[in-house]
Amino acid sequence: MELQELISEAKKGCKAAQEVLFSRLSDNFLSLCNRYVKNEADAEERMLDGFYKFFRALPQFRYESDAAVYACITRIMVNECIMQLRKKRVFNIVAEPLERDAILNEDLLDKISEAEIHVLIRKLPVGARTIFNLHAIEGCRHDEIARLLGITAGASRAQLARARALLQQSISFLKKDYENKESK
Amino acid sequence: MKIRNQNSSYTWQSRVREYDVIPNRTISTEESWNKLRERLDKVPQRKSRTWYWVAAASIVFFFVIKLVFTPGKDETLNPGFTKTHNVVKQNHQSLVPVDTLKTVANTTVETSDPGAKKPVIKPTARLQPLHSKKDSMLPETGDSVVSPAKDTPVVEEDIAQQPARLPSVHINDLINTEPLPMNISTKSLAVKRLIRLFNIDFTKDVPSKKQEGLPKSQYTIPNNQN
Repeated sequence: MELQELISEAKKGCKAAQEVLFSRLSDNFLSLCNRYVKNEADAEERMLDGFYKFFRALPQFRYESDAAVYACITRIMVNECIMQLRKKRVFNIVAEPLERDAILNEDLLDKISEAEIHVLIRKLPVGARTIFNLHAIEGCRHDEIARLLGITAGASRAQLARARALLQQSISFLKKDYENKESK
Repeated sequence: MKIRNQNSSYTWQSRVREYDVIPNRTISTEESWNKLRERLDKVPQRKSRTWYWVAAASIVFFFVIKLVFTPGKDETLNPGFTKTHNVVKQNHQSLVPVDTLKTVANTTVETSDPGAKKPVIKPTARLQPLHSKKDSMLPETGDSVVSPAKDTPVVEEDIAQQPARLPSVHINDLINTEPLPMNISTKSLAVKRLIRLFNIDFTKDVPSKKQEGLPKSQYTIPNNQN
């Protein structure tokens, strides 16, 4: 069953269609919430909050494309995660001097699996992790990030540079491990 | 070794967004759906706004009470009537004796309904001056200052039946039997009213400053003997 049919049935109030829709999208958006919120229980709660808001607003939702549906739900999930992080007041970010952006090694990046990339991102500090997720993955600009998190654009750039530097450092460690395994 | 542009996020997006499996997931999809289903089945309770209505009703009630119990300017003595006053020409050189005054015809005063138009009260008698015009200090005036509208009924007022304003008199003034002096210019207004009440006649009377301040409209108390 295609996504458009599922959404049209779910709008009518069909619980089976809603359940199928949830089971199809829940894993993807749970991993998204897990990138923002480290704790799995909190990530699941944020995912459920996001889907709750989506199903409540479903009667007014108009299907345009699958990408639009994913973008809409992604926006809801990201907002839920950031709201919880703001409640915990973790964005005490001080504007640091811009570091030289790390140069990513494409070859090494291709050798790393998605699960490892996911683990590397979750290991980042909360501020750098959030800004890296918003800028590098969601594609938000620094001024949008600053408005969303209540920080300055300069602090957002500094935290992004810090995230890239840390990721590069983590990737270099992985590179050594891979080289050691290949040598053996 | 290719070095990707450091501002490019294509690799990260493509690699991360395709990832949808969380290793060692402790919570199953069915359990998550059951939790979500329970939340969706709950009907959201609307906040009771009873106290809004109570506050609004109390404010309206307060204003209604204020409007009902606030007396108007003309309703202090006789509610429901509008009065027209005849400006009585007064002669300050000599007091007008009560015997020369014509009595007012006995008429009944009708109470007005809240919805009906207020009747205009007009005294039937006119006080005639004692002296000529030359001696008068005050200019003559015509009839009632306020002419009633055509539609409003005119009701003749019965002054005798209306409760008159009695002057405030001290008991010592009543008991005092000594003859009053001829010159009463320094006496108070209450004493002067007493003089009129007991039909005391004085041939001479020096106008005083207080007499000039006497109100123009004064209803004299009719003599019961007449």
